[in-house]
Amino acid sequence: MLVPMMAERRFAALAVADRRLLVALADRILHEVADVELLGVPGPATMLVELTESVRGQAFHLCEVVVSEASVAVRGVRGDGLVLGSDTERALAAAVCDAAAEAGLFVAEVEALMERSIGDRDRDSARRAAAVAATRIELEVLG
Amino acid sequence: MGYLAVKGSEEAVQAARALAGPTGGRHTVDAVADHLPLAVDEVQAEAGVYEPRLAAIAFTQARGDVAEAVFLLRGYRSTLPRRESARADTADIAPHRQISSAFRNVPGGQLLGATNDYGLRLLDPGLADRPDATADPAGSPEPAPTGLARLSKVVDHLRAEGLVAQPDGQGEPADDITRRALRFPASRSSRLQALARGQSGALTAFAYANLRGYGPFHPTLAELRVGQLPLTVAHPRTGNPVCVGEIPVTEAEAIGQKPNRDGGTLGMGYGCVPGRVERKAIAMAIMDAVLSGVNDDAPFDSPLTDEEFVLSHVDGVEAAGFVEHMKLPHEVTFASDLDRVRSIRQHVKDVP
Amino acid sequence: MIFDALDTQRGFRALLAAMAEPGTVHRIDPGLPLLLATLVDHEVRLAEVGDPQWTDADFVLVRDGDSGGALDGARQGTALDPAHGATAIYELDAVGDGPLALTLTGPGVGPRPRTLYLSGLAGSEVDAIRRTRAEYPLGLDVILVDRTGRCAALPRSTTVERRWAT
Repeated sequence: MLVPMMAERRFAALAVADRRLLVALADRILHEVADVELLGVPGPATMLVELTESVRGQAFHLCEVVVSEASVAVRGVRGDGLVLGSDTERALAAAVCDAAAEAGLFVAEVEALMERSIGDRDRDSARRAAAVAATRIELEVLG
Repeated sequence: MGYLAVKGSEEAVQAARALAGPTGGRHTVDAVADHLPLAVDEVQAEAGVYEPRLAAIAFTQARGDVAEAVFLLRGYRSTLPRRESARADTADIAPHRQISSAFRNVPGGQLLGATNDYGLRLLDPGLADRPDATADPAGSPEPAPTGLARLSKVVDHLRAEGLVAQPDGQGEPADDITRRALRFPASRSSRLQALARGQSGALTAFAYANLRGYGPFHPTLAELRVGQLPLTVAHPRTGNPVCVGEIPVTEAEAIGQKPNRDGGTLGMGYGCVPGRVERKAIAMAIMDAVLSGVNDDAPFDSPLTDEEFVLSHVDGVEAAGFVEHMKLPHEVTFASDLDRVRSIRQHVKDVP
Repeated sequence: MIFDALDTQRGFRALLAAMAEPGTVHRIDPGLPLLLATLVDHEVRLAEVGDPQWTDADFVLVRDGDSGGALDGARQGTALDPAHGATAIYELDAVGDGPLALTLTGPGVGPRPRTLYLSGLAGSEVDAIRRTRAEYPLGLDVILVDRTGRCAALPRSTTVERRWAT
């Protein structure tokens, strides 16, 4: 099913999008669309990380992560945002962008932000991989 | 034993607080976040709460006292609502450091990553004359055409050879000691959560004691990994799993000496902490093995094998809190102690 | 209706005062909905008497002021974890006036007993509540609320006796 998958990809991409660009796009949307309402109270929350360990396959709670969540409706269409960290404004911006795209507004802009976000993440991870690749070592015994 | 509630001059208390208040602000918080990341990681690991910016603020507010910063962060966390958990699997860790002491050459090679372990570590007073390094996102090496190939895990090779047992399967559901207090006997998930939140120093001391012979586990480090752990949550509308980001973690697996576990396999211990705290992950792996009953020795009697002893004393907020509560007025208890001593002395004097 | 943080903080304050001074009446407008919004989230279990597995619930809702003696089945806690005892919530016709008078003594009540007037709580239910706190610190804590938003609380440390007002 294409539609649910798109919403999921968007949710994931907006979660890690550059903050400045995300807030700027949300501001543009709010400037041009009057019908935006809050669904529920946005703000920080804690989220347990349930990790399955590799020795016996036992799930345990590694720690809690502080996240921020928001849920809004743009022209009656729901959008959601979830970001790591205590940053309500960022979560709201993600929710606004998600709702707008879901409502068929600013679709090209939101998709461009998604592409940029995924591209940035891939580039950062490749750069880090290159930096540590230089530390790969094959050991020889002395003597 | 009870401490008293006492009244005194509020002005004196306020004056004392003013003398002890934090002096750092915005620049210090940025400096802590940028240049003291390992302190920030330690605060988060001991609080059991991952939020680097808040941890940097806590550390600044505590004027560098890790235990106090942990207390502040845990206190703040208790004011937040709890949402549904995220799932993570260690198989998905993207490592930027992966080494094994158990094998010299592992498939793919050892990946040293960012570490000073192999250099000469001498105090460098010249550091104080140099400017802070600036983060340089643009000027990093050219990205490799393909990312790191996923490195295979040492433990998988040991399993293939039958030296280490397969994972038990589903295991029990994960307990949450932040909601239901730790009770004994403890489930393994409770033990792992308690160890992951423990004080690095306490865990290091216990692990060291084990290595010196106070515990029955004779380990080799099968693997140490530092990397990014992706977090998966249910999409709020579709309910399908979606990755919303990643957190850095340090993971250690330790392997024992005697093939006396099920099927003639070697015992193992697991450690994992958020952020980068290598000695704590290693210590946690050692203590997980000890508390799981891995025994490379003859029948062994030591407080280190007593989970109530180990787990009750590793929590930093509890331990530091109780030790420091000694500063509260205990005069009623002490007065009765003195009365007892005086009456004993009187009695001894009276006896001919 | 949506209650925001200011509402649930107001609700919490009212419940805190009610628990701290048992028998005093406080406002938690509009009543049961805000009470539940303040206390209940996805991490606790709420059930009505008779629901499947209701005896495991953290919060037990008793309708019509009468559990029919089933209150004993709610979680009472253990010697090591008395706090695991459940909280019973009653939505009554009136809290603060009515034909039923409860005489309360214990922590938070002060040197003289306090009287709490209620309407809609069965006499047999008062006996059931007394039974569940006979082995203090085990037992249930009780919250009473009416449809105009008045609430009162009977923590398990409070001794409850009943007499009928004429």
